[in-house]
Amino acid sequence: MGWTVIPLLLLIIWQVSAIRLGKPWLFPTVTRVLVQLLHPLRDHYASGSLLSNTMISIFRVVIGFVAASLAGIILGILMGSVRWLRSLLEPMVEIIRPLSPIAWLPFAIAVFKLNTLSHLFGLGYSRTILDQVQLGMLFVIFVGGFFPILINTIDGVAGVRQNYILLGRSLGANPAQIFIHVYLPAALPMILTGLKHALARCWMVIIAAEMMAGIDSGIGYLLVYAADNAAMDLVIAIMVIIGTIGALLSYFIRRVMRPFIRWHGKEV
Amino acid sequence: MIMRITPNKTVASDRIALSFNDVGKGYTSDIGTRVAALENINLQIDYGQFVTLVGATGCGKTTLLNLAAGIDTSDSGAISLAEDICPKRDVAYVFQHYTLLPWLNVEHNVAFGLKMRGISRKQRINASAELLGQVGLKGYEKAWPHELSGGMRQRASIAQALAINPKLLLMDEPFGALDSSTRRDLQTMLGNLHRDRKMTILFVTHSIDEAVILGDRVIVFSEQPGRILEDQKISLPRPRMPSDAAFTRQFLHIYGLLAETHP
Ligand SMILES: Nc1ncnc2c1ncn2[C@@H]1O[C@H](COP(=O)(O)OP(=O)(O)OP(=O)(O)O)[C@@H](O)[C@H]1O
Ligand SMILES: [Mg+2]
Repeated sequence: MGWTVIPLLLLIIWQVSAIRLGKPWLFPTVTRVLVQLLHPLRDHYASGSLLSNTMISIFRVVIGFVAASLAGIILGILMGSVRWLRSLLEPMVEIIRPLSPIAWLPFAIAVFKLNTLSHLFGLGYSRTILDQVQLGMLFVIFVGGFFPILINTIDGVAGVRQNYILLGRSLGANPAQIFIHVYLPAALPMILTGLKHALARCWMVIIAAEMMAGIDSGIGYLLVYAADNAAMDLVIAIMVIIGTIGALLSYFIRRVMRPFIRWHGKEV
Repeated sequence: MIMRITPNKTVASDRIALSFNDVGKGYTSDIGTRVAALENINLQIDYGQFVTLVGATGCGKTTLLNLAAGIDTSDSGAISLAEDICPKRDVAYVFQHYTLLPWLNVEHNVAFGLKMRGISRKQRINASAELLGQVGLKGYEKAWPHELSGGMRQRASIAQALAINPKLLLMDEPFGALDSSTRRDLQTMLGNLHRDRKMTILFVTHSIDEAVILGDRVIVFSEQPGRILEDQKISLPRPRMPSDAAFTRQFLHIYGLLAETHP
């Protein structure tokens, strides 16, 4: 339990100095923040609770991330193995890729207005969580996740050891089988690295995107709203939640990945 | 003696499994220099023969196997396989490096070729278990390639190659990195497998000793560019004893040939 020493020390310093400063709207005590965290269902400013807004953000990220993963892996495998396709698309990818996903948000909102997934499915206002998933948001999450996945998949596929392809062929695999049984597993460690980075990026992007004007739900939205209302205890509680969820997502994806890449780096 | 049916593909003879006719092969390196790897290769390998190929490093041994496997194409001359040896189905190749797929355990590595042929899971796992027994790897079905010792890996690679029941088996210094006693064990095992199955083997090594122990014939390669210096028949009884006088004579003869090109 040695790792708890420093955080505990910092919390104590924080608590003591917050009490001495006595300006909770600027620098709340640890206990006030804890109280917020211990009441995740309390409604804030009629825009939902910590829990409901967190769920909305996670939901947005999951949908955008899954879409980015599918698109990134499929296009990445094609670009990694078909040379002319790669030279055709790579310059464009390299120009678009450095653009911050958030820079796409004004464009995305202009294009998609505030249409949501439930509009997309033709449900109109469906009174479900789908109403909270704006297509513009999905678009920026998609952009955030797509490029790390694409780039890593391309590198993974293009870097497959020639030997494994020859071995597969000499054991009778046809081109389609080489694809499924050699390229894909051989590139999997890189693909999963891409997924890991992408998920972390999606989580950062969603928080920033929700802070933009025109959005009225999500944990990023609540963060700005709380700050505008000088509810610094809520602001810090939200920051704690964002950090924790980021860590959990990263832990989760690493756990899922582990059995697939046990061999990586141990090729003989 | 050899009549080509389709150029470059098949030979009509019930005796010859693989033949090289005036084969030459060169590479252009990344910096643009031209390297001749093989020159004037004429070689006919009979069905069921165990042919070993010795030569110094860089003399084109791997290149020759790659040509035989169809992985690479020659610049000149023709390489022909017997009609009934399908290059895609009946030729197995044990590579010099990275001989197993690292993301599959031993059992699935051995079963890989059968899977590609659409053999049912149950059948291929049974076949895999049987082969692993034959190569002395019983109990290692679930092990990962990186968990095996060098000798065990070579056993697994041999089982993997045998699984497709090849008519022609190409092997590139499979025992090159092993200590001498493990090497001896594997040589004995391979010798027995060859005796029990009707398989043609082309086996590359840089050990003269190994070439004479295993081969019905030893092909001696010159230094780069590889040319055939000598094609020596070994008719010593098996199992062969390196301590035997006749063995030593043949060993020394090849040793002399290689030493001449190695001033
Ligand atoms: N892809 C390649 N590009 C350029 N040169 C090559 C290539 N492959 C082989 N060579 C050259 O061809 C020659 C023969 O190579 P090869 O790998 O066949 O030798 P080898 O006899 O198998 O050697 P070793 O015993 O070290 O494995 C060498 O000089 C090598 O540098
Ligand atoms: Mg070699």
